Formats: sequence, C-alpha cells, structure tokens
Amino acid sequence: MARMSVRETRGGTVRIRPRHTASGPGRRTDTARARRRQETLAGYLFIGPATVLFIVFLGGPLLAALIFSFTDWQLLGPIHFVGLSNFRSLFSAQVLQIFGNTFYFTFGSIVLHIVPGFCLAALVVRLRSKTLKYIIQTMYVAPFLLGYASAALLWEYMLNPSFGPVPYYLHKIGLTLPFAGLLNSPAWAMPTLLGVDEWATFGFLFLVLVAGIQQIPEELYEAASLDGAGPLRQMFRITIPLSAPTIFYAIIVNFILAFQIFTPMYIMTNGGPLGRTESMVQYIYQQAFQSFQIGTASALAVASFIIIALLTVVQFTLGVRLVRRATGYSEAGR
Amino acid sequence: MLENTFSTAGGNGQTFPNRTLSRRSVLKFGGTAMAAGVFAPALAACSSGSGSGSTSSSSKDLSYVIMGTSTYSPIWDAESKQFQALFPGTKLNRIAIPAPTWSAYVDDLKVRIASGLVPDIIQVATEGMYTLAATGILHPLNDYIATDKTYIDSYYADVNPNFPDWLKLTSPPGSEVYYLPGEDQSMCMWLNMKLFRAAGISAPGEDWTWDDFLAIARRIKSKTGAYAYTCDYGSYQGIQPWLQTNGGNQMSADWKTVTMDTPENAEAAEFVRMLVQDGLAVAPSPSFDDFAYQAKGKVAMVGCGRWEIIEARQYQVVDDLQIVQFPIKKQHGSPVGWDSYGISTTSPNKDLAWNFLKYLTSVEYNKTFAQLPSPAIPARTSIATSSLFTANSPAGTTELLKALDYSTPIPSPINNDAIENTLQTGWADIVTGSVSVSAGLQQLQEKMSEQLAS
Repeated sequence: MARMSVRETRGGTVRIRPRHTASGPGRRTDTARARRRQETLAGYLFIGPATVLFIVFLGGPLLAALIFSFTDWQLLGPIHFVGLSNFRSLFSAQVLQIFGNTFYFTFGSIVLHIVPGFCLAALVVRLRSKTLKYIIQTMYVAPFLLGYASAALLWEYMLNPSFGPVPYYLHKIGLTLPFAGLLNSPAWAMPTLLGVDEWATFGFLFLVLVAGIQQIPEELYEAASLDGAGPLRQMFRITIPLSAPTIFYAIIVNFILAFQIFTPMYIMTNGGPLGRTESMVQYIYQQAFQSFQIGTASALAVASFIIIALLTVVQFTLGVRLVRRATGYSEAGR
Repeated sequence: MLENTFSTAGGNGQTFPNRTLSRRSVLKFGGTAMAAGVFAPALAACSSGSGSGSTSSSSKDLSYVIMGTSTYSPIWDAESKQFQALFPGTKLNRIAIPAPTWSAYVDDLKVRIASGLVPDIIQVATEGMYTLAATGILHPLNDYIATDKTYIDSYYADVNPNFPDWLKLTSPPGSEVYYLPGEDQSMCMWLNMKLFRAAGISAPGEDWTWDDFLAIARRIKSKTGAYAYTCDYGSYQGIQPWLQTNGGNQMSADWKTVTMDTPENAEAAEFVRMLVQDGLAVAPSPSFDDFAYQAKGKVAMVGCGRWEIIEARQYQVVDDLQIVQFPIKKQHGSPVGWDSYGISTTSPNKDLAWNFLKYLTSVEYNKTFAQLPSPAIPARTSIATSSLFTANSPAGTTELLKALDYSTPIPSPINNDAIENTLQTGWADIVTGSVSVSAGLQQLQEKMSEQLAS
C-alpha cells in the first residue's frame, strides 16, 4: 500500500492522497494506475459487506414491496398486475382511522418523551451528586432494557381490571375506572398505551438528551451566573439553544420509532377496542401474514414509508432552521 | 434445528474480475443481487405448489412440521424412538412451530411453504386443512388408503364416527383424500371444585342450563369473592361454545356465509356481556392466563379443551378440578377441531411418509400419546376411554369425548386467521361494553363477510 498524506481541505473534509515515489514517467503512470486499482478495490471491499446487507435486508425488500404493491399476490398462488387498485384501499374509512390512530400515538409519544425528557435531563445534568445522577439515570433507563414485549405483558397484568394492582389501588383512593378496564375503554385505551410507551422507552431518549446537554461547556453557565442570570434564564438562553440539535435529533428518532409502533398494540389490545388502538404497522402485519394480501400490505408499507420520509424531511428542514436560529449559526457567519 | 433441517442454496463462487471496478459495474452487480433477492421468494412461492424440492436429503430422511413447544418434547421423542424401531435407519427431522393458535400456525406454515420450505409430512388442524389442501401442495392419499384398506377401516372403526363427514367439510370438492385424522379436541367447562365446595355447591349435571350457570356464578362470587368465569379471548373456547349452546354459530354449516347477526348470537352476546358487567366474569384480554388464576383459586370455571391438563399437572391441581359439559340454553354444543397429517406433493419419500402417517394412527402411538402430557384427546376411542388417558386427569375427563358426539367443526374457511382475529376483537368490544350488542354483531357480520369474500 502506498504511503498516504493527509491534509485539511477548505470544505473541512479530509482528503487522502497517495505519495508517488517511483522514478521514470512510464513506470510512475503504471504504478499509479495499479495503486488506484488497488485502492478502488479496497474501497469496494470495505463497503461490500454493508452494501450486501443493505441489498438483502433493506434495498431488496423495499424494491420488492414497491413491486408487490402493484400486484394481487396472496403468497401461495400466481401474481397478477393490478395497477393502482391496492393504493385505493388507503382511502377506506378503516385505513384512515388507522392512520389517525398512528398519528395520535406518534405525536403523543413525541410530546411525552421530549418535554419531560428534556426537563429531567437538564435537571439531572446540573445535579452535584454523581451518585444521585447515576441512580436517576439507571432508574429511567432500566425499563428500556427490559424489552418492549416484556413491558407490554407486565403492564397488561398491572392494568387487568380484575386482578391488576393499578385498578385496585386507584379504586382504593376513590377513582373509578371503566368496568372492563382502561385497555377495553375506547376513550382510555390509546392514552394508556401512550403511558406504557412512556414507561418502556423514555430512558432511551432521556439518555440522548442527557448526552446532548452534557456537551454544553460549564464555563457558559459560570459566566451567565456571574452576569446575574438565574436558573430559568440559563435554561432558556443557554441550555435550550445549545441543545437544539440534540432535541431535533431526538424528535426525528422518536417520530420514526413511534410511527412504526406495533408491540403494545399487538400484545395488550390487539388493536381494540373498536379499532381505536390499531396501528399502521399492526394492520400491515395483519394484511400480510393473516389475510395474505401481500399487494395491499405492500401498498400500505410503501405509503407509510413515503409519509415517514416526507415528514422527516419537513422536520429536518424546519429543525435546521430552528437550530440555526437558536444557536446563532448562519451561512454568513461560517 | 431449522438450520440442520433446511438445506440452503450453495454459493456459486462469484468473484470480482481482475480489472478496475467502476461504480457502474458495482451498481450493476448490486442491481442483479437485489433483483435476485426480490424475486427469489416470489418465484419460490409460485413454484411451491408444483415441484420445489422437499427438505429431506436422503431416502431414509423424513422431515415433518408440527405445532408445539418444547413442552411436548416427551411426545416427540417417544414417537421418534418408536418409529425408528419400526423403520431402522430412518432419520426424523422435526420442525416445531410454537404458534399461539392453530390459525397462526397455518399462517407460519404458508410463509415457509412460500419460501420453498416444504417438509415431507405436514401436521395441520381443522383451522388450516381446507386452506392447505386447496393450494395443491398435498399429495392425495387415495391410493395408499386403497392399498391399506383393512388397516384404515379398522382405524376408522375406532375413531369418532363423525370423522368422515367432518373430513368432507375440510377438503376441497372432489374425491381426493389429503389427510389422516389424528387427535381431537372438544370444549367443556373445567370447574375448580375447591371454590364450589367453599360456596356449598356440588358439580352441575350434564344438562345444566345458562340459568343454572348464572345462579352458580352469583353464589360463588358472593360466597368466595372469586370470579365465577373468565371470558377467554379465543374464539374456540371463549365464543363458540356460547353461540353453539344457543343454536347459533359464526358461519353457516358449509362455511360459505357469515351468520353473526342472528338473534341466537345476540342472546349469547347479551348473556356473556352481562356476566362481565355484573363482575361475575373476567373481561376478555389477549394475554390473560385463565388456568393460572383458576389454579390459584381466583376463578371457578374455565371453558377449555383437554389442553388445560398440562398446566393442571404443573400446578398440581388435577384433583381439585372437575370437567362437565358446557351449560346449555337450547342444545348441547361444542366446537371440535382435530389434528391431521398429510404428505407433500414434493416429498421424495412418500412411501415412508405414508408409513409414518400410519404409525401416527396406530394403537401404539395412541397409547404413547395418551400417557404423556398430551394436550388433546387420542383419536382412537379405545385408548381415549382407557385408564391410560384418564389416569392423573380430573374427574369427568371422559365428558370431553361425550362432547364430540354433538360437536360442530370449528369454522375454518380460507383466510381463517384474519376472520378469527376480527371475531375475537369484535366480540371483546361487545362484551366489554364498548359497543351495543346489535351494532357490534352487525359490524362483525359486515367485516367478516368482507374477509370471507376476499
């Protein structure tokens, strides 16, 4: 392998150049070509495993879903091209309700994770006691390590209207719940699932937000303090603006994960009551692996992919603007 | 185990050519690989019904797919030993699918078959028999049955006499026979007699009614504080018995029409809903473990088939339980389901596979099955009524066999799992009060009809 030299470029990237040492113009050209070939091969070999994995597990299925969305394939049997008819099912009342449920869950999840997550993270980072800091972090992250399926089964037991401890103690303090339980109540089932989701996954985004806030230099707080800024002022003038990129990242991750929610609905409510908790991914699963309407399921998957991609782009665009405004970063000031 | 069972396609030694690699050539290679990845499953699925390879690799190997978890290992190990003693050198490759229901098992099976993983022998229950036979992946057994007529006749003489009619219902039109029936399952009511005794009640008689059930339920609740009953989420044990004992059902006898919005079904739904609303029954919940609560003395009555015996033995409450018929409103009624075994069209060892099917119907296998922690009733009546089956079982175990006489096969049309899922969710909505009985049944009628037609 040729020796390499590294230098900074204007764009901030690092470019690696081979340093030519051979003598004679012809030989130099041949050697350079051979090296280039070797480097190219090495490059492709480095990206090879990731590319293969991408093709097999992501690109291939994605392309397959796109193709199957125009067919009436039912798994065991012939495939016929049916044009856009599978996409018409996207506008049925049931699918619109499911999209509604999914958005309800997604936005509820974002609000419940980001707002308290950020406040708690800001508080924990400012704690002087390291022990207390670790205890709080561990406490919130522990449910996340449990696994979502286990958490869902646990909470189904906790909320069981006949034997669960939650209804029992709520009844003891005078709160009357629906007789068939929160999970069987059309009004309460989705908020309850949001609560379970909060308990089960809060730790992950909390850790992300803690990591983001920890990056803020301590000197800024000291300087602000010397200038007479109180905790609230410090929060709004230092913590929030400088954590904006992390918050924005957490929102996008939360959005993508919540939009694909499946486990609690599948285990705890099976989409009920009255379909009020049926999520899009659960419906896709039912269409694909219970009804074997692969075409319809693929059309729904493609539509969901497009929605997630579009909304992520919108969030990204808005987020970048907000981050620039919050951090005072601009093109001119680069 | 699967890795050992299913052979994978070998690599073709593809290497990069010794020349400068352009991005275009890499993309071309990637595109080809992607296309192969996209179309391979579809092509496998298209060919699965007409000639993809079996998963067996030698003439003495037999692969078979069954439903179950490691709980059933004693049964499987015993059957392997016995069959290998009969046919030395045979290697049985077992593929166990741990599905929660038979419908879910059929779904899993269909996905495997679509991937080209077709074993020699396929176990399937009522819920998937028609579906699988209609796909053309099963080999007709008529010739084998004709050759072994004496043995098969003696087998049918020892199983429930309703089987020939039931099998017609679960086979596509025509004279082909695709399955030999195996173990079966009916529905009865399992009672926790400790709670009954605590409430000063004796076990009800064979013809007890819904009114008797209600009176017992109220007494148990008031005297012991325990729940009288759990409304199981499953359609087999939680919905069907109530419909059938009132002369209703979810579908017509030929499974061609949904019949959810009948007055009989409405009456059944009202009754179960009242049990929940009055606090006598536990509301349906997808993951609720009825048996655990019955074993702990928190629930007095659980509707169930033979499968509760496994947990009853685990919790050591066999002597506290008693099995009685389901209470009636208009008539006795119970769903019935049974295991069946078929041979795949692609099996290279059909003769050996047939011998395995014969073994699964033999007296020896039935005896083994009856003695082990078997979750179903042995197909042979002579064994199911013997002490081999009734030993270490609750009093009234033979009631399960009696129930077979008036049982109706659990409706199992194509697309059954989706329909069953709709029924379970919709029924739960009705009995928990999320929707009125009439509106709920009407919604079920419409949605299930739509699914049946698709």
